[in-house]
Amino acid sequence: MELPRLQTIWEKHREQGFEVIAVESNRETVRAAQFIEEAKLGFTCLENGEGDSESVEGVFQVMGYPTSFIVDRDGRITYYHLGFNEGDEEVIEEEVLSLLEG
Amino acid sequence: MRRYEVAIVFVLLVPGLLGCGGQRDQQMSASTAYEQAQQVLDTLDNPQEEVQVFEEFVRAYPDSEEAVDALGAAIYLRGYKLDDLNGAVSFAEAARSMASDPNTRFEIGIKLHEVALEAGKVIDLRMIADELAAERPLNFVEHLSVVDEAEKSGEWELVLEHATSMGRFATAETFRNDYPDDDFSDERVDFSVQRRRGWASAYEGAALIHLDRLDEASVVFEEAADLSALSNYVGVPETPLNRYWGQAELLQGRPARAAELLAPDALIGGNESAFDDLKAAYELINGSEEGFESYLLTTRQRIATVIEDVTLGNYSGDPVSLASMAGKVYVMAFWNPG
Repeated sequence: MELPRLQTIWEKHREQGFEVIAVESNRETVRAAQFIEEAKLGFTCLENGEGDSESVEGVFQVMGYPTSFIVDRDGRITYYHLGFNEGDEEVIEEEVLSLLEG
Repeated sequence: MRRYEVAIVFVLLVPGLLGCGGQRDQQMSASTAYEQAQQVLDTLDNPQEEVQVFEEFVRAYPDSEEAVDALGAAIYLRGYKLDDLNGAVSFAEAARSMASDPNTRFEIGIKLHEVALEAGKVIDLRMIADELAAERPLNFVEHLSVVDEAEKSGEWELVLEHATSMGRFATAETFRNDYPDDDFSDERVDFSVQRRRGWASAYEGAALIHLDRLDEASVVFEEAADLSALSNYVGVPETPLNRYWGQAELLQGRPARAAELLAPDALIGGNESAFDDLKAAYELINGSEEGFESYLLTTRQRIATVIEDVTLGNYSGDPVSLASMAGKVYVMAFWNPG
């Protein structure tokens, strides 16, 4: 699962101005809240909107889960990844570090 | 210890359930049994025990739809978690011989080919595809599975045959026929048809490149040029078309055009082969790799999408806007608890 790995990366680099925003797409509020609680996620966790505020598929055209974007200081999406395999967290951390240092 | 016992109870239970009825009951109880297996798995936390549950399920219900899923999990656990790729291959081979349903045998065959390749073994993919084709014509997704596997094992004649077949499914009528229960809008159907054309052309062209028929590959890519712009929100192409087209352009000595085609996959999509080709294109243009790092940075900034501001609620009910992240580096992770 991706989010606990992101928690680890977040703890390491948050002092340098790194954030994580998790957006739960299905509005499964109870199950999502349980997961967030059990995995002790400390970063920002948001719920997808409804109707006109539905953003995950409507705005960001997300086709599958998990999907990650890495956003730089100017709001540019510099990295995109669909799915999650062991080791992907290392690629994400590397990308994040290069943006934090750049 | 206790958890282990639960697993053993389940392992003994599955063949018991199997004995309860005929073919129809077997399929019905397969889904029930798989649900029970999931419950048992929730109590386990090591791959050694988990793999037994999945493998026992496959043995008990070799022809069920769930068997394919269970086999995938068993391969992952035995092959990668327990580092026993040969064991995973043997089990997948056994699973295929236990299954008699042509659809299941095909699905298992694809998984078998994939793991066998990882273990350095060769499985006759053509035979697997032909066996199903003898029963009924393959559908789009099945052709794509064959293409995907044949690409990995470098069987480009086979890629070419099945990619050409995929192209025949790129019509609105065929797409709607494939999903009779869905009522897709014309716009959605049109997009899906274009994407099918993109996949078919990408692989047809890729096969032609590898079969040293570069001129024909270029014709395929040029004819699909209208699909080149088919990309997602962040600008990453929906199909591998641009990445193979870029490869063809590179091989034909047109590195500037290759670089344009390859950049989104290489830099935003994180595709390694596109990245290697982009680097080769850069070196051809500039005579050396000097300045490549800064080229990457500026190109990425040029092609990247600026995220738009949305406001969503957190679990305390407060609104959070993405604009509040200005000046920060962040990961936006879309998920669901599944």
